[in-house]
Amino acid sequence: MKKLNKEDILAASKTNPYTGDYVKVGISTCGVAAGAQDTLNVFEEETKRLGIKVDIRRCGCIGMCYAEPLVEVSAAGLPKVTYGKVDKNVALEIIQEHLAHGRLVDDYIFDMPMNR
Amino acid sequence: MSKQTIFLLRDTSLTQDNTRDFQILFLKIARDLGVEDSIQAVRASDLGIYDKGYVVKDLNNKITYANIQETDIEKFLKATIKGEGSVDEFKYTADKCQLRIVLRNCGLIDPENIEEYMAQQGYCALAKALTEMTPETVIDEMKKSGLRGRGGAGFPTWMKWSFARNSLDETRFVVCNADEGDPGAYMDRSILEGDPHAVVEGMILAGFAIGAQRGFFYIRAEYPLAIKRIETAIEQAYERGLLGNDILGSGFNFDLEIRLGAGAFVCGEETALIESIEGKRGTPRPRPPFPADKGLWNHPTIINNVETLATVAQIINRGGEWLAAIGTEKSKGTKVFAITGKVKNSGLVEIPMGMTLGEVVFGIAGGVLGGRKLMAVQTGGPSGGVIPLKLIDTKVSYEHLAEVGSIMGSGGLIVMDEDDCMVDIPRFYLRFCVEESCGKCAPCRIGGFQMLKILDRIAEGKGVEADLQQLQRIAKGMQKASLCALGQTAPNPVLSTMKYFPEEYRQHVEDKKCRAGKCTKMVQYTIDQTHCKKCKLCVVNCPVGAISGSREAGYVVDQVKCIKCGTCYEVCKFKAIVRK
Repeated sequence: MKKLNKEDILAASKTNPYTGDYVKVGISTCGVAAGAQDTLNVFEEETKRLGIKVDIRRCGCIGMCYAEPLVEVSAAGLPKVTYGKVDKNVALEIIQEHLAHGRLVDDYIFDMPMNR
Repeated sequence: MSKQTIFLLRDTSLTQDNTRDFQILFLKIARDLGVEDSIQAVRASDLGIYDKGYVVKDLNNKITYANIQETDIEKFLKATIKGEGSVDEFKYTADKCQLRIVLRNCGLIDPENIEEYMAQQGYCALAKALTEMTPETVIDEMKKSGLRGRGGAGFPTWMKWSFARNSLDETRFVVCNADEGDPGAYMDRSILEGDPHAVVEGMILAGFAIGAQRGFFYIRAEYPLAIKRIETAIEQAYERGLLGNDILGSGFNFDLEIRLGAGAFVCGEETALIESIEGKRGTPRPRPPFPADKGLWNHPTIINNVETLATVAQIINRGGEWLAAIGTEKSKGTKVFAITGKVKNSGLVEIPMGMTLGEVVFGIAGGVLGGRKLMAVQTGGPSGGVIPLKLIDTKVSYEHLAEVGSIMGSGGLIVMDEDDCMVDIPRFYLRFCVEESCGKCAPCRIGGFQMLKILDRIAEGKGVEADLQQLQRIAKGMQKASLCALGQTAPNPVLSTMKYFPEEYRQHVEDKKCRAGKCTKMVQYTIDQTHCKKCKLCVVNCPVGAISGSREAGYVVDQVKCIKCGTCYEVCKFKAIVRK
């Protein structure tokens, strides 16, 4: 692979890998312990089966450990939201409601104010 | 589908949850106004705002409105959807909120994909340092930032670096201390798992600043996922020429490798960690010489905590003054805490230094579980102290926490409510330290053991007045004479609880009573027949079958079989179980 130089790094810093619709599942020790791997599998299998075009991504832990598994969804023209306590059934509901019909799912949204 | 405005609704009162009713009313009024198609009103589970009545968040415009009454909904919808009138009076901005510097990428990027890290200004600091700065200016920037070690002791990072830099020995090492062992603390794990490249970049920058050729990650083997992600990150960095020889054509060479710790708490202490990397038994060395002077294989070595290293790249990117503007006079930047215990939202929070403990526990973490009363918080794990409710306004900073007899530590924050016993908690921590003591020096090995024996005696109801003085005496000896911080700080939980909760100790020693019922030897559970409704809930739930009887004869607890777990006490709806 090509060795990077300074220009490559500066160019890379201006890219945006987050274009398009995505579902992002927190896969860290805390998430996995709460069943995030199953949640991830449901999203991967079901969106494929239903033909919903959405990137399934992975990320680290956002810190809301009490609400794991956490899933961030940015899709269907809706603002980005974070769902917590997403087990298999909630994942299916998110696919059916949020991804397929653009309706947010009640009772599972966790929205924490934080500055980055 | 036309563009809808998304409202998140939540009843944030602490005693009830009427979110559902509020949503029904909200939607009804929206229908009456004929705007139901242009909105979505969704019940949120948590908005990070507490005790502010009904809160509505406009997700499209990122505006939060608080304290909205049922009667305000019509006005609210008219203003926000139809643009008639104003609802600015309900606008709410959280005055205290998390500030994410170290955790900025955690939960945002894919930790196993270097491209995503690079898209967040990843490795820009490295490029800047290697092409525009000298090692001296890097250390200078660190000095301006005022960053202090996040591993617990709070030693100024730049000073450690400049000691190593100015050493005459040219062979130098950088070590990342990821041997996180405090019970209940896991921020290092989350950083390694969520943003491994930030730590790798921090290591390379540290290596450049002190003139090191090699770096080691010392990670405990209990963190398999963190190890895997760091391995991936190092591999990706090598592939792209960010590690190895002639990094970015600057002529600077740096190699990184991983060493696994076998899970000994003492190996988080820097000199014991050095011994462990060298392949020896992990016991501390006397200091001085300090590792920055004679560390790994007797060469100058700097050992920094994961969180410290994860901050470095940000300081180089944004400049030292930027970090120095955050925090208190002597403590700069942010600190990540792992909040656990009897708290509503357990997890990781990153706060600017200078926020009070109360703001962290009640404002950010949502207060005590089940709305019970806060008794104390414990910071710094087994080396820290217990801080009582009356000192909850203590600011989070190295100096303020030291003032009240605790320490910042690596960042564990354990919340305790009235069901916790202030003799049992320090006993737990002390037992941890006794088990983890390496045994090299007598004050820690013998002192800790003797203190624990006394505490055990007190918890069993066999304590005498003289025990309390004896505890203080041994503690002083340990603090003064132990070889490393493990022994020096092990008495802290005991001393701080003795200072702030003397009445609890007196109760245990004189009255042989444990208020919280945690010291099981002093507790007895019996059934009050006048209150008992013979529902059998205690019988069904008792894990050892210690409760027997019949509806006619009543139920009794067999004191021999009873393990004092308190399950019957918790499940009884009629308060018929008496704990004495």
